[in-house]
Amino acid sequence: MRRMAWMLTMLLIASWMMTACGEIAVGPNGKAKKVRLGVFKNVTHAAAYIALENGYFKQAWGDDVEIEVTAFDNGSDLSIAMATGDIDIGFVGPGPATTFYLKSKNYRVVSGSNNGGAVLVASNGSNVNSVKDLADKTVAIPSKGNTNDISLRMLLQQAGVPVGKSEGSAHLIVRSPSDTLISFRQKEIDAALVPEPWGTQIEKAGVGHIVVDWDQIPPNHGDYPTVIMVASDQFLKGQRDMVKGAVRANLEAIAFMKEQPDKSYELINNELKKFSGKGLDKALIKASISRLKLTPDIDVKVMEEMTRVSIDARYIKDVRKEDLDLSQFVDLSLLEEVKQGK
Amino acid sequence: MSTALRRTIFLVLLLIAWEAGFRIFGWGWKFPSVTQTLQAFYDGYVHGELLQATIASMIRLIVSFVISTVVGTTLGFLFARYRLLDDTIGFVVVALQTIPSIAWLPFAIIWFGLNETSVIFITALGATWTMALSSRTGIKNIPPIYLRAAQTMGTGNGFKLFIQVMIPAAFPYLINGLRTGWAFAWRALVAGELIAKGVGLGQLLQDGRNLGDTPLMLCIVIMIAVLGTLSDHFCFKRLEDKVLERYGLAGSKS
Repeated sequence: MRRMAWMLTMLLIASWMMTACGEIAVGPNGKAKKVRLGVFKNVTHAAAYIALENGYFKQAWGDDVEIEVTAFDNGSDLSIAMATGDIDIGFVGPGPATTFYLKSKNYRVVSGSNNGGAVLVASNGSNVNSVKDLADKTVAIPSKGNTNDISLRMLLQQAGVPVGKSEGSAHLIVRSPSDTLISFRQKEIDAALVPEPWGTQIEKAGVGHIVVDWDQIPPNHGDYPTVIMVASDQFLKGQRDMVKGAVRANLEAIAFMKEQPDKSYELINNELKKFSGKGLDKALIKASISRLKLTPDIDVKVMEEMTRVSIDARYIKDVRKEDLDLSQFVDLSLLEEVKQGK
Repeated sequence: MSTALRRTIFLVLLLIAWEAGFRIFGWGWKFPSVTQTLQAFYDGYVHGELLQATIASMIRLIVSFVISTVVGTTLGFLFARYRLLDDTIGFVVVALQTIPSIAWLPFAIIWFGLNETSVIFITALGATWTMALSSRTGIKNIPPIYLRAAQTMGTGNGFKLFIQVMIPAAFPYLINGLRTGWAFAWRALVAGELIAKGVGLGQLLQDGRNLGDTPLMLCIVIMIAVLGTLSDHFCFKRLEDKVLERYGLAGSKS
């Protein structure tokens, strides 16, 4: 009996750990004391960086709110943190965000941040000059199921090149964008679909050339969301005004970057230095920003189109294509309110 | 009750508790149910790369294991044979053994690149030191009278003595080294595959993580456990039993 009791206790502890959720610490005025923010160490997250540097979040939330920023290397890790309730608000790509949302259903898209910003680069010795040439070549993507992977699959489908290991198909392998340059030098891969600034960097290093520019990358000719803002349901329920503040901060940052691009490069660099220990060449940041479209708007149809590619690739197994509906996932009511309130 | 029956009942109960836990506590996507995991097994073999990954990992493991056995045994022999080597390199090997082999991965990536060679390198490294130390102990513990008798019978002092007398005499220790080496190699392999790239169980586990595919992740963890148990049971345990029998020690183990 005692042994049984022990086993039961262990089981209970284990299941408690699996269902445990972090409670939000609330101050006297009903406002959360701390906001846990998740961003990437990448130039495409420029709007979040500007909002941090210019103190837009502080303005929106007040000085008494502590902002805890965690910088992630890839969207899957950030989405895991979102799904397990370890961060409240995150800037992430739609690919992994959707994959994890369909499993955990505990966070929502509240705003866009930028569209596009990824390019297809090919190594100089690879003889790849169009998407059709990718047959029998090795192409790198940053991670399985991420936004770039989806774009690449769409590109290959348009050109009629299958994905796989057999002859005549494109071979996809996973390389983190920061390793892509090394892989180009080692002649390990022939091409890569990477987010900025890595495409520009490879071009500048003289090892590769851009085959498909950002505004030709599917879906929607580069006008597809690459960085979106997500907020956890728990935070959204208790602190709707604070999420609205974050949406406003993102909007202000986008406006600032459009009005004063030259000033923004410096600010973006400051944050990059903070997160990854070293900054980037300002020209590189400038070139990267010129390859993306800053916008808070999100087209749900485009996101659904991208998710269907994920389902075809068997990245999402538990949802059928016909049943896919992301209208619950994308909640742009806050964005609308912020826009009208301005 | 026979052992097999007891184990079967235990496994069935475990499966029931697992499924019940999933239903009662609502683990959701964080920990998959029995049926989801079985589905992932099925999917993995029919549509996916599970079989391919398993084979790739096993090949990598066996290659590294052979390398580390050969290198380890040779080193162990040299340490046992030459005092100078034992005092110098042997001392370093003891220190090296304490380093988890995954700690060498960043170096391996710089030396060999993010590829097969790196993973094989760290996997082999994981088992080599253990092999070296157990073969050294095994050879040092050979009663000198065996060696003297063998030399009188004309084996000489070199290779013949090593193959014909020393290796068989040190076998019980060597088997032990093989078993721990195998376990260490497995650990290093999975850890290496998680970080370095290529086809393999560790890599598939990483894909599962990136896609939040918990059934696939659990599937691979179970695969690793099953492969480890099976190889120990059908390979090393049998070998050990045979050796114990040959040395007349079979009765001594309870």
